[in-house]
Amino acid sequence: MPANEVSVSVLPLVMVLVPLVCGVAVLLAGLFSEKAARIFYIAAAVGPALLTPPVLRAVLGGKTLFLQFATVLPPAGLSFRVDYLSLFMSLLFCIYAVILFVYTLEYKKDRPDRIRFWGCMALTLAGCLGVVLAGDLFTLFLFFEFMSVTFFILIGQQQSPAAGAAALKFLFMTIIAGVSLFLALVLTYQQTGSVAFGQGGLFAPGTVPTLTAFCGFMVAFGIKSAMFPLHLWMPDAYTAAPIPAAALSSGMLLKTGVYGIIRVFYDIYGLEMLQGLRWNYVILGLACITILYGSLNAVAQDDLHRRLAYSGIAQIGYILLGISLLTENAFTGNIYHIFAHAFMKGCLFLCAGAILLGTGKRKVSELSGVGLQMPVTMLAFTIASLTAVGLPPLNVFVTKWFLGQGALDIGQPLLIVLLLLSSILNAAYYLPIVITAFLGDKALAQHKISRRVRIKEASPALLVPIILLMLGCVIFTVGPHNWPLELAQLVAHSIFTIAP
Amino acid sequence: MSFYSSLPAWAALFPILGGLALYFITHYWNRRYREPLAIVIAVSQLVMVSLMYPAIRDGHVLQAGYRLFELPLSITFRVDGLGFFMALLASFLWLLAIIYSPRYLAHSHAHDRYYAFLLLAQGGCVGVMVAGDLLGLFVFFEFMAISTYVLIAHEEDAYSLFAGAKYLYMTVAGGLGIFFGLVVTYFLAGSLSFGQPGGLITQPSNLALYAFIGFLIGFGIKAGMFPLHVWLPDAHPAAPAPASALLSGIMIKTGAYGLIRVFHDIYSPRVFQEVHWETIVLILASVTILLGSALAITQDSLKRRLAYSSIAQIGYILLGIAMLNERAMVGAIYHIFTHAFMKGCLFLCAGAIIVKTGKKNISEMGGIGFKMPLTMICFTLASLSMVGIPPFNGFISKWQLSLAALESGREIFVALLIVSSLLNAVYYFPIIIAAFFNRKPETAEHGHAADSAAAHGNEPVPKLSLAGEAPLGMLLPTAILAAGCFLFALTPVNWPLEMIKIAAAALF
Repeated sequence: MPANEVSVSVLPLVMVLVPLVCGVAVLLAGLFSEKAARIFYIAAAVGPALLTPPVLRAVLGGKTLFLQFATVLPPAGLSFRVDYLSLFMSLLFCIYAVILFVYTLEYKKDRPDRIRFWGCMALTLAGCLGVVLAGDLFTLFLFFEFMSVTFFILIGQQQSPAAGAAALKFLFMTIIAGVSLFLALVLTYQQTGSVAFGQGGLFAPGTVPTLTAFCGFMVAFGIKSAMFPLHLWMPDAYTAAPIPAAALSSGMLLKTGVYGIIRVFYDIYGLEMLQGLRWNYVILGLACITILYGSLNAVAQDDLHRRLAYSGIAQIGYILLGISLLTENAFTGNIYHIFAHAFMKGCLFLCAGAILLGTGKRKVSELSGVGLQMPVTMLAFTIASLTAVGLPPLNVFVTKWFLGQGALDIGQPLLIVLLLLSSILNAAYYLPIVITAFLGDKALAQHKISRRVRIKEASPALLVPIILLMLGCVIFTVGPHNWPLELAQLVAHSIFTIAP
Repeated sequence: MSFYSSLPAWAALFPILGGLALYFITHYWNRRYREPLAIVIAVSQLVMVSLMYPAIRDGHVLQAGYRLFELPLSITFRVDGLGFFMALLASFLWLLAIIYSPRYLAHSHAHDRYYAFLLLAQGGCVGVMVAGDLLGLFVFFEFMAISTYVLIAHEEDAYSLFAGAKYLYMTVAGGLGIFFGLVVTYFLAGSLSFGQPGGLITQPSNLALYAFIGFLIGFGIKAGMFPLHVWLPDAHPAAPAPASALLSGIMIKTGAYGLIRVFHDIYSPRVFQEVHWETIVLILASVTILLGSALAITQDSLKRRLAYSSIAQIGYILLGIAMLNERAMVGAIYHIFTHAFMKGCLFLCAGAIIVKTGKKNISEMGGIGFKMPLTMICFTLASLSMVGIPPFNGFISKWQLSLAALESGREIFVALLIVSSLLNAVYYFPIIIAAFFNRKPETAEHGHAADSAAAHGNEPVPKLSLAGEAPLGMLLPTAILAAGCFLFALTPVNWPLEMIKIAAAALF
């Protein structure tokens, strides 16, 4: 495949700047008027989303958008670049952010510190978009750090001792990540003289700095994506953080870590070199452990938010597995799972938030009969749970299908068994919630309590985002066109054919 | 052919859409329409399936592809003789179960949910039988499995929730087994369509064996094959009787149906001639027959005894499938049909007994033939068929299976069938004998079935009377099923057998 035509465009820069400016504007405007803060907050999500159609048209038309400011921050300069992969990620982030931000406006809308929360959410979005739109490693690093700092504030938002501890834990780990990334960045620049993406591999194989840099990258992005054994910050952070922050993290923040690993694999080291060195097998092994570790831990959790967090670790394992198999099928599966997991887990988190608001419950053992109180919320929860188990024709089934094909491509049918094991564990920790929510509570079921008292459904502003995310789990696979899958195939195809 | 080729899709999707509509109409608008609407949907569905008959009779295979799921492949529908026969059987039994349900559920709860999920499960079940490729089969299979969970857990007491959970986890695990086979099959063959001459996987290999084991686990769990049967004896008694009848009569057969497709459409009998993997199934089927029958004898709960009996009977079917010759296949499919009628009838009888007397255990059923003579006559007919006494259907399938065993030189299976028939007699006849001949006063009754004791006073010796008989709505479906156990064998042309012979011939 011929290299794509490079076209200079300010669109990626604007996509990052809009939420950045809006985030600052939220914080400032919040001092005077909450209404203005709300408007800026929604603009932070809607703005980039409005910019996606032209980007989509340009990239699908065969162009790679590129923008460089060589004079800013020399020697590397600041650059933005949109290829298929960046397009996929930014598209997902934009759509997800719009849905999530609408929910956030309504979620605990009476909290005194809500303005700060909104502002930091918008800034984190800017950071995440910056990471996936960055044109070189240096720019990526910049936004990576920025995003981490703003997310730190989101974790500590509740200002309880637990939240403080979780935030600190995240901060320390994220500093380790930043330092490792910096080390790797310096080594890369020193060894190769370039940090730009899109050249299909920079490093020459086999030297010690190459390996050191690889380790640095893996630690940095592994921490961010919560890969075992670097996941330690995540369960605490998800338990302590407000629900929208946890949803933001599972839909975007973790994915930036995964995105970083993909870039390192395919743009810094290159497919051919990795296939020769087989370093990807380290990640493969860790991915397998991550899947089992996350799933097994999730079964043991009674706190719903914590269970979702561990489940998120397991799901990240799927994605890492897809990356490390180094085949086109598996890569399609992992890209698709980035999308599938965002919608599925996002839906589950938002449902958990609605349940917390509606009934005050967050322990799984207390959720008996909640499906009769909040039928729509729990219906969405049920569908998202079945998606997580991977029932056909829901989204994760497609993921597992492609990962399975990828595992067979390299002759490892055992990996499919691992995926299946994880699926049954998924069933073991999601389905009991669904069952107790709907069945077994006869006092509620037999209308001994009148329907008016019984129903405690969340407000429409919370329900609409939940339903949208739930539909995202279903309609693409049932509908005649699975756009995300087609895009994911394009991404995989571009990466596996450009590599010489 | 466009009218005909759209029928299979509608036959599967109509009950699903109908079930959803029924739930919302009755739950939020007017519950009076619930039962009539359910019956109308079931009848329309039966008509849709029946309309396929002319095309099937003329030897056509109905095929239609829909790009519903944008995977590398899409879902197709394909109905051949086997699929048509199974779908017809399923639709017919479902209609009877729906007619039976209102009286059975009169004192239960959550009727809207029950009928809705009954119809959803029907859509899934018929979908399995009209699917044209493995992916479609799998999608409907899972859909049916999940919908069935709600039926099993319907009572929402501790026992049914436990039985339901056991069923749910096993069925999810089974689905994953099939998924494994699915992925490997696509990897090896690049296609999942049924009806390709020579099958999809033509070369035996290790990977093909793993896939076969995956299929065997998946469909074996659904069928209740030893050692994957453990969900079945709990799930059948826990479910409401009409749902048990469907579960045992039709839904576990989808496992057997899946295995037929695996043997003939995924692999081909030629592959098995080289590697003889079917021996695994033959051995497991034999164990299933003996174990199911032996355990049935020890059960005192009637529905539990019937459940273990189902395990034994599914063993016959698997045996017939795995013998891999045409006559054995005729026997297996005929037994699918036979068993659907007789076990459906038995479960409906058990349900009628529970509703009218509250008795669940066989030891309490002495003299019940005098209170509910018609129900127990149906029970007797179905039991006789179960044992395999000549004019009954059960005889025909055992005859075919025995002949096939002799033809292929496996005389041991004939002995197995005879032993199993004996065991069938051992666990069915005492029930009948106690029901009709045990006229001694029932002292234990007072504590248990208060309603029946009140209705009859303290009569020392039960008299033959119709007063305690089940209502017509329950009796009619039961009687139809009981009649089905022998009518076909008595008519000059045994229509199901002819259909099955054509279907089996198409497979080989």
